[in-house]
Amino acid sequence: MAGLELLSDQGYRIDGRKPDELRRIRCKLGVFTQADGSAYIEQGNTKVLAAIYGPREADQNMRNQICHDKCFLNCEYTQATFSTAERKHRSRGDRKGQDMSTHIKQTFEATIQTSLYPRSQIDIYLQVLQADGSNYCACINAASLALIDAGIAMKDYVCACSASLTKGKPVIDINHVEESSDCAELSVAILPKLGQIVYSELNGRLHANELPDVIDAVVRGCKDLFVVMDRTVREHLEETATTFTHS
Amino acid sequence: MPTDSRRLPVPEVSHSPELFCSSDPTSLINDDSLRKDGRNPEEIAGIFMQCGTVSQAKGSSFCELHKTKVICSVYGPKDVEQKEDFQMIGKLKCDFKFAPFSCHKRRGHIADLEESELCEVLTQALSSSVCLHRYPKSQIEVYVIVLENNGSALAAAITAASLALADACIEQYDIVAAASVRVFGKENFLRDPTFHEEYFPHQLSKKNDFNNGVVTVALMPTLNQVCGVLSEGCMESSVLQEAIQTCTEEAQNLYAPLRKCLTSNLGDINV
Amino acid sequence: MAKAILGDSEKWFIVHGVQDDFRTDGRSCENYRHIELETGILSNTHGSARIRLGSSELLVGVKVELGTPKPQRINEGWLEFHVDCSPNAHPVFQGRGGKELSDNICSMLTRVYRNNTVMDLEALGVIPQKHCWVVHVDVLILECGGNLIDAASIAVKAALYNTGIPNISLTDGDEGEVEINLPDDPEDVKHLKTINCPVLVTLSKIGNRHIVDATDEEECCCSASLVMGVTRRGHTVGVRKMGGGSLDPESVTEMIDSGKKIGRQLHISLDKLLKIEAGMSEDIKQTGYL
Repeated sequence: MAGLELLSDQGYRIDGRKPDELRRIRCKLGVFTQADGSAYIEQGNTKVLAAIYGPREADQNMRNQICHDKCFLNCEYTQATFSTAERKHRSRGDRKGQDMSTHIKQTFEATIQTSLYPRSQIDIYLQVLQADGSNYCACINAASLALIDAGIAMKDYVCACSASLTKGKPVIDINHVEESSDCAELSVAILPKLGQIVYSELNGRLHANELPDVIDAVVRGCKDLFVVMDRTVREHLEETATTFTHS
Repeated sequence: MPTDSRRLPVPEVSHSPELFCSSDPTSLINDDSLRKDGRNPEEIAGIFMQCGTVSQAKGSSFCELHKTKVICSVYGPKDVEQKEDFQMIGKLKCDFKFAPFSCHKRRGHIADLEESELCEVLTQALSSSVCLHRYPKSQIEVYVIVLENNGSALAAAITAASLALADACIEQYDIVAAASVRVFGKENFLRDPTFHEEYFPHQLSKKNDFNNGVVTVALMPTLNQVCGVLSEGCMESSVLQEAIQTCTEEAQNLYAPLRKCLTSNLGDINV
Repeated sequence: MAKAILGDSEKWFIVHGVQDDFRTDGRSCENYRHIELETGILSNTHGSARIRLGSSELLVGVKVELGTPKPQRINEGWLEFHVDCSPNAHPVFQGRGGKELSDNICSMLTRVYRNNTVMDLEALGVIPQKHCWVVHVDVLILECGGNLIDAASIAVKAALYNTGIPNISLTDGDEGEVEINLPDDPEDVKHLKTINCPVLVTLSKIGNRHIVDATDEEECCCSASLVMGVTRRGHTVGVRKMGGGSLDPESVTEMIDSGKKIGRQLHISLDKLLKIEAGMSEDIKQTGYL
């Protein structure tokens, strides 16, 4: 985009944020009544809905994937036609959607305590209502909250954040404009309390010397995100606990 | 495939030359109160029906309603395709297709949204008459192809399909007869509309579009039960109800020719 | 369609309740469930609406694009509908599982919007024969709680009401071609006239009576239903019978009368609600799902 600088001289980004500032995050648990667990997250203008069905008996067509000692995960990522600025009809099973679904599935296979649910299936469905950058990260965060809402045992929260490198400074939680520029994009999902990285993906080129700084920035971003998510979960728990004790 | 640089490529989008003719705003009824094809408004089209047209199918029929020609084949009852859960009620699988050369504008090979909608209406009309509980774990396949579309294709298709099911000795509560009516204005109904008499919103201006539409009704004559209704166009509810009534009467009248067609077929077998 | 599994005694209970005009949640045969409607919640679209009808939830997004007019109507634009069943609603919608349901709803919506009286399509024309506005209406089903068709039609009307088409200006460019200029101000929009847009009313036949706004369980007990499009004035714009059962001709007549009455009431409340929402000040935050 000619004329628009990703990082101004005063150290502000296009949307007025500082390089290490996250977008406004609002989330809610228990949005749907029919799903076993659901959550909605808004990271700036990126809006994602997650629904969890399970643990339940394996579907007819997935019988070949049953394991006797653990559950298997089934994930589907769908993006609404009106989610991007330009309307694009995405058919089910297109490459990008499948790619994302596989990445998200791998992330949660490392987090969910699958040995507690033998011979079962857990479905994770993600619907992107509005895509404004960091789609993968918002999906992971939403799915994490939804899994907590469904009461499925996990090792820890999963918090994901994205980062990029502009003018030598790492910037976190990138939006669509920053994503479409030529800079490298690093997405990382971590388990905050255990301090472990469960998933990382780098698109573009990044010099090996610059990598540690970017990783540090993104891990800090994830930890900030964890604070917000934890607070939301505790608030939700208080609300539901009060309705139970009062009714 | 390398493109041939010596030839001009075919344009990607092409239109039928009929689109560029000036649209003929002549009314559907001329001064002698006759329609374009010489019929009275209440006169129904000439109908021809024959069973056993397709020898390989279990049952088949051919139906011609003025110039609209529909052929239908029935296969089954046979095992359900996918190894689905055990079902005590049989499955009815219908396929409705306009042959690519059947309409004024060429249709593609793959069923589009309109064809799948008509297929759904056909399936639901037939489901109410077929005794599916007599065919557990089985499926019955009905394939309808419209060879020439000159209006009332859905009505002809439903009638043909029901006839083919009877020819295939599939148990039904009653045969299904269908009829359609074109509405224009409050009191004017044209029975069995031809293709030019059917409802096309783009031919009418905004002011003239009220109380204009087409209504198709599928009926089981002996039981007097409506199995399918499909209508299009903005109408007053009283006009719509009257149109449905007209279609119902016409479908009742179809019962005698249908019965005759089936019994004459039986007569041949006995010999 | 994602169907609830009911035992025979449950079905009998529902059928007998309907005979006495008393449904399982206490409604009468002609009452709708609680409807929540919110418009303008998606910033990427030109118009949007979210509806919650009982436990059914849908999201509609409207985007307008410049396209070529159809050859038969060179002065007008057109509407295109697309329905998507999100797997969030039910695992069976994964992959291509929701195609039948989405095709049904899409074809019904296309059918009722296909005539000249419901929308002023000439307002969507830009340059005759060359450019026109194409309105893409995308419906996303997020939760299935019965009666998705009615919910979709109400949300579509609300989203179209909320839609703002940019006010373009035409200037003469080089070589005699007319250039289209988009306004800089995103608020410089013109709204569509949705006063004649229809609403779909589904009447389900249970036993001897018919009900409106069936829940998932009631849909299992109904043998046949009639979907009709009703405009504000009570005119029918399209009728289709759904379901594998059959109907009496007298029932059909009764259902059409009921549908007309209920449709008109629905329009009155919907129009009132939309006017109130449009008049609300912008300080009130859009809550969406929060």
